[in-house]
Amino acid sequence: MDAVTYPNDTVLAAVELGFVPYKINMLERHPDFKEACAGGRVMWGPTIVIADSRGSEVRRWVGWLPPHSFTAELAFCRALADHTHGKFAEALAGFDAIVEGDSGSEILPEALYWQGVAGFMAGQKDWGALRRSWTRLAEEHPGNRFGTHASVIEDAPD
Amino acid sequence: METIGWVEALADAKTRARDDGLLLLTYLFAPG
Repeated sequence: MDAVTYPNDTVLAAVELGFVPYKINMLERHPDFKEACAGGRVMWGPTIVIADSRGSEVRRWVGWLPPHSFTAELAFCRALADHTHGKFAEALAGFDAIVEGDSGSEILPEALYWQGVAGFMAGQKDWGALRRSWTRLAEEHPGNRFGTHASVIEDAPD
Repeated sequence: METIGWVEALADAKTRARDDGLLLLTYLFAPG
């Protein structure tokens, strides 16, 4: 992370736009160690946790990501946090931006999945929005886990 | 070259997150 991803200008700009960065080396004694690890077990590095100011976890993953995937993850986490806090219109705008601007990151299927959910919630049970995102997801990513999740849209009400 | 402005103390990071957004917590296993 420190060699490639974090020094990247695009990553730097994305972090500065709405994230407070903190890192801890698990192999060193640190006064914050207990508090930093209170949210869950850290089994391998790098582990990345995105959380809100209350410490509520938005997303956690293990493993290195290249700059373009990492910045896509940050955008996804922002939209997911909005969704978690009931800001469905903002969440939908965030997922829309990822889906429309995606340049090959691994997050696209999951972003499509949540685009459908946010559209459903923002539109007061808008089945059309859910159906559009999930149908595209199931058709374009049939071997992906989220494509499988979305395939139930075939049985959704009209 | 600019670098990320890591916050030294977790308590400070949480305080800043109230105004500046989400916490980005990175856990590394880096041999010293």
